[in-house]
Amino acid sequence: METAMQSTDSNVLVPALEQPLPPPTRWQAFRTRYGTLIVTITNISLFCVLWQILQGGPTPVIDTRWIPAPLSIINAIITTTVRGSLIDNFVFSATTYSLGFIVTILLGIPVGVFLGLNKDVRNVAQTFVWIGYSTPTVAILPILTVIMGFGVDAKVALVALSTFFPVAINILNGIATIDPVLLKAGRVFGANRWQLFTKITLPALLPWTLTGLRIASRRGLTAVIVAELFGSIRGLGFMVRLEADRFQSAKSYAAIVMLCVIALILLNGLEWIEKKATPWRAKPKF
Amino acid sequence: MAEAAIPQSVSSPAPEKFLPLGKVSFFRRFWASYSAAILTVGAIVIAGVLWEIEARYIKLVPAYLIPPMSEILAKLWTDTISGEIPFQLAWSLKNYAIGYLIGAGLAIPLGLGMGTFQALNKLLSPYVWILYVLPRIALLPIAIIAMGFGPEAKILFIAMACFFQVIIPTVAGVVTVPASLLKVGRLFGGSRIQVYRKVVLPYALNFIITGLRLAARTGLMVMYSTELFGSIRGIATYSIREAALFHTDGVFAGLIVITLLAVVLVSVIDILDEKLRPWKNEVSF
Repeated sequence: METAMQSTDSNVLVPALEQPLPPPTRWQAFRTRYGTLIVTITNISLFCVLWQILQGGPTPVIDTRWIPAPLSIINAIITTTVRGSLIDNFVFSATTYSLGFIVTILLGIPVGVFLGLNKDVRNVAQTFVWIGYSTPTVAILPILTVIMGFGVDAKVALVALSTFFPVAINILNGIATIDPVLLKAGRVFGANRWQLFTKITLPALLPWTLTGLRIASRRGLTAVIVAELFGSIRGLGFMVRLEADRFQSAKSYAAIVMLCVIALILLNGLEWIEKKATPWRAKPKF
Repeated sequence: MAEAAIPQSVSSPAPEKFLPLGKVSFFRRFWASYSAAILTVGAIVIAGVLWEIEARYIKLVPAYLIPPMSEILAKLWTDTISGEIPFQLAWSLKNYAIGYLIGAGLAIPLGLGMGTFQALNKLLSPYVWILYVLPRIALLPIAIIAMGFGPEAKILFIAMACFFQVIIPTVAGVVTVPASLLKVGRLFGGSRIQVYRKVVLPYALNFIITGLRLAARTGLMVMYSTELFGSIRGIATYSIREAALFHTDGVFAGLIVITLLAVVLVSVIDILDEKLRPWKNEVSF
């Protein structure tokens, strides 16, 4: 529609409905390329300066035990990094998280696909997976702790459980909504069951699986933090709690900043993978 | 294009699978309508029976860790009758309701504002994004030290969770209104306000409701995990206390309560959504 309107036919004496835009000037090009970035950076810097003025002075607005000034947070990040506690705790949390996530990828995805293949099995599985997806998975934490203790395995189990359900529910949904026309077309062209599975079902499941993993990554992060807050002797969550209990809240904010960085990297990384792996799927950004 | 290539005139006789309804046996019709429900209930019952057998006779895991299903149900019954579980649950649900109302009540107007006014969006969206991405539960220890073990910290966290779950779809809903719809509205002589009321708001409504649904689920999870860390009352506190006393049947009773609650809540919302908004197109997150 749009292109048809824009085309100017020189034989017809009707003016084009929409004139082509003039080429952007250098200033306009600069603005479209970097404008948002500059505004955002200025915005955040001004906010930080204001925060420092309000909280850094001798009479802070809110007690600095709850909200410290940004400079002291940066100071705490440097101190804890030099002393090694931030890195140690980060490595511990990251290991727990990755182990749980790997369990989901290696076990959860095949189990999800396997449960989805038969219609009746899928119906039953969908209910259980849906129940698991709707309930707060952290509710199992007390039981896991009683059974497995305060070690790493309870945390890995919790991460695996809370990441399994989003992935599984997406895979089951994906299998249920495969276009039957595609399967029929496959049959018509002489594909056997295995070929139908590998050439139609699996590619159709890829975007669903990736969406599931993206949702799961957030839940898994929450699960790690809750598990470490609740009972642990290491990890970023433990560090937040310990330093908060010592009233060294700048140091707990250092750990929180670290968590924020991890979350940003994870989320953007998974989004990037999703975009690269399924380029045919134009997704609105939320 | 692709549809046009298919010859429309070919009419094949109906395949034998699609017999008229009267000739299908009663059992088949029954199975077609209720198979999902029957299989689900059956699977839950079988799972319960297997659990009972495992805990009583096979004992892969010692019975003091995973008690038999009958004992869990008995414990659930006694504590419900004695008023312990309803009392704790009511406390949790009150926080949940207050938090949800505050969060959603702030998020919808602010989200509409951010979607409508570019400047406000540019000003606030970095903070919304950072706080949305941040695993906010990590702030809990500090909040609890600042606010105590009472309901305030829980309400704050539930409200934050609901706020972000609602505001992001709301902004997205206002921003993604198709330009052609807006143009049509203007073309038919609608003023700016009319276009906003008759085009933008109904379009964004879909997104807002999706956000409210997500918030109901997330809020419940946050309700549970905030109580887990330290609380004076609440359903999670009940579970923790029972776990500390090694009364694992009580822990499982709490787990059943929270599961039932989540399932009932989410399905009630889904059914209401289905009934009230039949025109919806799925907005998936």
